[in-house]
Amino acid sequence: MTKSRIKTWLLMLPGAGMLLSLVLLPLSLLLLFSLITGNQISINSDLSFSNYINIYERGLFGPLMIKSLLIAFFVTLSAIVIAYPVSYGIAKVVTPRWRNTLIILIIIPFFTSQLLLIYSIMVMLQSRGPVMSFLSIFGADPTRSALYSNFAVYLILLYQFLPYMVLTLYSSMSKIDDNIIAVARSMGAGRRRVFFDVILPLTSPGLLSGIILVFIPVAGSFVESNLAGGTNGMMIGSLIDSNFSVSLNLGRGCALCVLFLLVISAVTFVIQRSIRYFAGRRL
Amino acid sequence: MKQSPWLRLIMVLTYIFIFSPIIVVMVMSFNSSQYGTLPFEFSTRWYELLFSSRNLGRATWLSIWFSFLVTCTVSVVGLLTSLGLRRMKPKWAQSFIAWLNLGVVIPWLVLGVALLMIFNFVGLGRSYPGMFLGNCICVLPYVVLLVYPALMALDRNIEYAARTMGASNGRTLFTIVLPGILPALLASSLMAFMVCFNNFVIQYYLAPFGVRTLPMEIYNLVRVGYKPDINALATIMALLSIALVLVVNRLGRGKEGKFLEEL
Amino acid sequence: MKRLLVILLAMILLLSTACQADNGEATVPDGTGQETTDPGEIRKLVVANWQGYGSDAEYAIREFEEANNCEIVHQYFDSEEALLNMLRQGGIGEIDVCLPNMSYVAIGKREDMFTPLDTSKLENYKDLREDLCTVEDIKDEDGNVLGVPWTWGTTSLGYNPDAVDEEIDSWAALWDPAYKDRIAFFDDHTTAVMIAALYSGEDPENPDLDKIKTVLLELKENARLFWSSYDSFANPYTAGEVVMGSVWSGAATQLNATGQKMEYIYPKEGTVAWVDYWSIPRNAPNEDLAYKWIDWMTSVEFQSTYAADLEAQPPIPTNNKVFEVLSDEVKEALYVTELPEILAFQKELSPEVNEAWLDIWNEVKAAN
Repeated sequence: MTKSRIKTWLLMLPGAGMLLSLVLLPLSLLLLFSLITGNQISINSDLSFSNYINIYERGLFGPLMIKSLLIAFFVTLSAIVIAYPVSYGIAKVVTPRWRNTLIILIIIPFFTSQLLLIYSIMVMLQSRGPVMSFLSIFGADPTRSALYSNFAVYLILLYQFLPYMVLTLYSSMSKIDDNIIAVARSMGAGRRRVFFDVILPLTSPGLLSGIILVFIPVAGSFVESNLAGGTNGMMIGSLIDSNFSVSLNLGRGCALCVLFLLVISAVTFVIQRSIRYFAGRRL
Repeated sequence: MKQSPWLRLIMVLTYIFIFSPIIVVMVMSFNSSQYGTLPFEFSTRWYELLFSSRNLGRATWLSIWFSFLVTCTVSVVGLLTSLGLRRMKPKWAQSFIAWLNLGVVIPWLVLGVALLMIFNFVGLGRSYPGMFLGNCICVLPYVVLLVYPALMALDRNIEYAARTMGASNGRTLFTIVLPGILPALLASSLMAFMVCFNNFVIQYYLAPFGVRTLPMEIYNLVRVGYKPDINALATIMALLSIALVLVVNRLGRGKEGKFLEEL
Repeated sequence: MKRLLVILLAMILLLSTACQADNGEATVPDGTGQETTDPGEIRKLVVANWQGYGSDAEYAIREFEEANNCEIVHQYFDSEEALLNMLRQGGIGEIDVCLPNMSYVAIGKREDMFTPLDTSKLENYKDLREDLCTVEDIKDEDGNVLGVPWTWGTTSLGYNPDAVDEEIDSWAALWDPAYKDRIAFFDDHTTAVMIAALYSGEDPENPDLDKIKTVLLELKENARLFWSSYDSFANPYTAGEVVMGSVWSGAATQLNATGQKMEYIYPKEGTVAWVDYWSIPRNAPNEDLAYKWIDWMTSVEFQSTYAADLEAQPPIPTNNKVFEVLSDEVKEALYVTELPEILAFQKELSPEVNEAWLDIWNEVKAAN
């Protein structure tokens, strides 16, 4: 028994060590600094909640957080809707020879640079660019464009995070035994039934991972909204960023971050529980 | 299952969606305009500019081998961690993973600042090891999130059978476990590489002075407006990767299909 | 699986050879991040500056490296605060010379980050603009100078003469509903507050913040986007999405030089100006080289070459002798022929004021 325990600890050592020193420690620092007011961190600083009170009074956090959550929600939902058929196709339908190729192909654009791709999308969407020129055939005004709006931000974020959803779903999808699907069909289940009662529950681990890897970063993003969001595009990430990079208010930046973490963890927890519940009912 | 035409359509459209910006980049790399405006004038001046400057090449090379190193390390650590988690009660394992996910939840901007402070305190400061560790922790959740569920879904009876027949732990690992979680391992390594390669924020804070990885280089260049030779670089990289993938795919026509079917 | 590894390895090898082709020496990591150099042979000068801002131009580096048998290493930052953070977190002792804005020299002064300069070591110092050399913000309590003025410029109003029929002469154009959704505004809290102050007749150094907020909210209604780097302005401008906006003088110079028309004017209410200074951080490893570098940067030779390179977004040089050398064409392109009466310089802001201004700006941006 002890030998097995030691083995477990040994296996966990590198991972746990990293977790402790590189995640938990910074997190504690974050909490600590969020209680310090003012711009200078020194040993004698008093601890207080004044940063949080200030944030509440300013009233910016709430609306921005909600907007970010909404955008994250729509992006994640769209990613799920697109990634399911695609990952199913790669895992089950395509010939085995092409499987790995298609998987690698989907991330090849990201072997270049994400920032560059964002710019390219903007070039595509901008006025007198390819998309608007094409749409002008149908009567749209080519000197306007869809850029500098929430839609543009949504599109760019969807583009950036779709591959993650595809990859996570693929990894779950490939484990589903083909026979199970065949059996379900032979018992008379239509396509819809097969999806909701067989595929969805069996891929729920991949789905949950995908949600974490898409929903959370999108909610905290700010580069895309800064570039393409227009004047109304500000998200919670920009607020956090400006407190760290522009003003020198480390304490308030940390407090904003702590609030962000609390909200996003709570929301993610709720989403995960619901999915596990729905998946569990059918398993 | 019969291939539905809708499925085909969705897949094709998705790949078009994914590839259209990179196609734009490729086209623009041959356009002489600095701002990406039409009318299109063919020119190779950006390629000449690219090959005459030292910095982009150096940054790219750094990003590539650095991301490769991080990916390998994190894949191994992630695998070990998942194996360890498998031996624990699921509840404990879930909570460990939840904490680990903080590496993804904490905005990397904040993580970068906090890590820099810690490294400065420890005496490490801005350095390669520091940057390495910072990137590792950002990327480790990606691996564990995929490999752990895949491990749990494996039928352990096969492993036990192998052990009964005299296979050592190592042998079981390599011949039974690893092939069983191959798609998850592959997918997570690819994601890890992708994330690390593009991880501008962490590298910005933790890179040693004077050292720039590709995302940092591109970010700085783009802000000043010298985009087009980046287009050239991106085109070269994308074309090389695509060509390689297709070539190897052709070569493995008979063999690979058979190999995977046996899984 | 093997085939996959082959794919990945081959990809990496091929890509790396493509990169190595134009790369003389690969940077070898040895854990400390320092390139190993033979002691006593080639020294390294670490320069902290914006990318593409003159100091990393080929001619600048080459001449200096040859003349002083050293190597220039650039450390880039993308915002003034980033520079300060860099200095705070490990930069002191590593960075030899850096380029803060006037208002940030003052902050550095407060945190004792810069070494007082001995201007007798600088040959070109006497030729620099007097008012910029003696301004209070850059001096410490003993009257020592903490920075050497290098370049300056304005953030003023630029518009597309082809798309705008009338002649603009006032900031009010940015608030004019005729140009609704065609305006780009610089995303910086200091500039935003100062421009709003100039427009509404307030004192740009100490405006009534409530009034400013109302004015800025109106501006936001009228504007299409906020830009924070040259590219995020140039792209929409050249595509026709925006026809007018607050821009840097250098941006206007570069746009005109590369074939995109822009009319750059100094509005009658006055315009915002900024000055960049070279400073030497404390404990700089190569202080003597740093002095030589500053001298080189403020020399007529360098500044005239830089100013004449119109496509590189040159700012206005501070060395007075340079103007004797520059052609009239270049002077017009730099917009120095007719300077405005009211130049509101971006000066030092106390932390409270800075934060108050930033909060206003964030509230304006976040409002719906």
